[in-house]
Amino acid sequence: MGKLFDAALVFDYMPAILSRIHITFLIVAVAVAGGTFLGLLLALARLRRVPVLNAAAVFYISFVRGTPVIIQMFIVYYGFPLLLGLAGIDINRWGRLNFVLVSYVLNNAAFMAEIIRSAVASVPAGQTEAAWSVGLSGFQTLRRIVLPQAFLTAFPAFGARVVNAMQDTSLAFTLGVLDMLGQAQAIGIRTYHVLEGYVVVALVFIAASLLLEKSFSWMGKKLLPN
Amino acid sequence: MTFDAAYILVSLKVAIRFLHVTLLLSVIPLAVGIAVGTPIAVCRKFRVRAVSQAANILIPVLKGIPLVLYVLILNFLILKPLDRLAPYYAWADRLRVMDKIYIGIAAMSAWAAVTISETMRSALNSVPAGQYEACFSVGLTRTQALRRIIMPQALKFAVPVLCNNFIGLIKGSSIVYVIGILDILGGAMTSAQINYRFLEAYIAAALIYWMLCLTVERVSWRLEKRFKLKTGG
Amino acid sequence: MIQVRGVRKSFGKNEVLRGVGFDVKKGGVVVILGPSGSGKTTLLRCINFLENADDGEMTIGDLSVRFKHATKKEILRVRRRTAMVFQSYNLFNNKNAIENVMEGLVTARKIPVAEAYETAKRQLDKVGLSGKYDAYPSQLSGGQQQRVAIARAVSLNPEVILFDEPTSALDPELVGEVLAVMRAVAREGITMLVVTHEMSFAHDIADHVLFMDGGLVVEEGTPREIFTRPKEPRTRQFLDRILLKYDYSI
Repeated sequence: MGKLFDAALVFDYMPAILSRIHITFLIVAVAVAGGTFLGLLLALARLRRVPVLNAAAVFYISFVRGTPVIIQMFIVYYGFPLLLGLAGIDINRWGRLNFVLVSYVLNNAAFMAEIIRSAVASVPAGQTEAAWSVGLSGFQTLRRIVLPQAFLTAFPAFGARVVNAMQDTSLAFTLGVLDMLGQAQAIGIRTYHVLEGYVVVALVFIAASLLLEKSFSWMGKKLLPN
Repeated sequence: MTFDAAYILVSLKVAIRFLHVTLLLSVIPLAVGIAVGTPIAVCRKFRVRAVSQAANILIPVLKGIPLVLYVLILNFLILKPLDRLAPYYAWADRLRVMDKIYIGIAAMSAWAAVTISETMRSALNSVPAGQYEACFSVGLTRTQALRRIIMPQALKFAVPVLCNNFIGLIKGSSIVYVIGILDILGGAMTSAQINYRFLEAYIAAALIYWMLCLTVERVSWRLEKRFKLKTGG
Repeated sequence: MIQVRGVRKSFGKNEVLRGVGFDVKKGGVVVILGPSGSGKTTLLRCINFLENADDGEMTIGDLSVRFKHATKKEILRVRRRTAMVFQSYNLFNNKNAIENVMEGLVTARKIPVAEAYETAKRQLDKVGLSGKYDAYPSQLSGGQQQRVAIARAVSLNPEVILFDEPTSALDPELVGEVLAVMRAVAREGITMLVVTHEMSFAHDIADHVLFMDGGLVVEEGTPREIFTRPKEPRTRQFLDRILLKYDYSI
């Protein structure tokens, strides 16, 4: 057993760990895209107060926001095959990554729904009334007047959510996905040097978080000049 | 394998016995986070040289590290030296095999200090500059201004966010299961080890976390309402 | 007696004050006029150390300080000899009217609570807010808030009260009540240094008027001198413009 921490190994491990960064990017991209789409549907169900669906959305959002993402991941992993099995679909041969993707989409949908809902609710009623008064339909009002304004309000919270979603991906390894952290642990088991690997992963997350934050605040300034 | 809701109840009964572990892992870090994060935020607000410069660089960096890495790295940093000492010192050996909850608390506390210092910073910034100036104009010192005028107003902003931070700590504490601490999640898992009812066990754990978070949310609403009443608007 | 000499202040490359000096006699009312951006407000804020001036010195009574090198203690002593009334009132939002007045007395001046309460009551009565002791700032109109702010300043019994455009944020119909209170304060013989655009106040109440432009005192004198025989073209131009705009108030 060598030194507790060998700085040279940080550079040695860097390429092997960075080679798994696409997994992280994939999870974030799918989670944010899928989560925003599903979240929009959930938000609409709540804003329009669609009977049954509204109550279901409230229940769903509260559950997702009130439970750890790590547990959600395992519930999806064990529960999703059962659920789809009822419908006659067999996904027992799915790779673990697919379950991670599904659970992160479902997780982000709840957060995105709340961001979208409160942003839409913050658009003054007068805007909607004005849109109706010039003869726009309900859908046109939403798409052309309300959502563009809500988008600006939601943007900072959306950016913060994306950064959070990226940090949450660090838990995918618990399901056995070989992402950066999984790779660091695999190296650690082989070489008894796990700390160096963790440091590499930490550095990558720091860089990615700072980069995301900076670009979102830059975009925010572009969108909202005042 | 089929789903049997009755097993949820079985797992619930086991997992609830570990409620205190999850509470220790979230309440202590909340307290540490407030105790450490507030002075950091105050130093940054008043531009106290050494502290604020260090914090301006460190906080954004530390904020970028996911909680699970805090847990894994601290676990390693505490256990490895103990491993080496263990052959020579009995106390080191005992610490090594002891419940690792203290490692979990330390890691959660470090993460909480970073998060909550940011909460308190935006809380201090939420108080208009004119309030600070008015304090100074009637001759209050910085400490007096903070204690009597600024903090009471900053708290109105901070309390709901702190409650959110607390919810984040409760949920985040489940991560310590990766270093083998038996909290609500770990406890639920022990029940599944016997009967292989994993899905039911995870649902049971989720239900407990959900109830905890809903309770905190309730308290948050109450506190917010009280603050609104107190300043008459 | 207050003496201010050679105050300089820059924000980055922008030199806002370029060596300003003036005197205020005990019990005197000095009004500072000038176009926006002339440095009037910055000057007041420097005197109270809300901005750190780059150069200059000041004497208040027996206390002399150099702006650049003032220690924390000196700053606190200056602040305890002065009081300020802000454009945006800046009442403590977490305190009701009477607590707002008591705060400086009890916490900064260490006056016993019972005594401070009596003082605060007296001052609030004087500004016509007898019924509003328990009202929080959010429950008061702008004019009422500013009157509480004036009571807060007067109760500290400072050597000078600095007024920073106290009526500029008010709706027009509320300006009168605040000006009336300021006139009453002036009549009590309290030393006042006032930045304002209210020409009637400057004309009737001030015993000395400073006209500032471009970070300098361009002209000073009695209100009569400044308003009727301004020597400087810049003063004349400013007065023509402002009197045209505010002709109802003189």
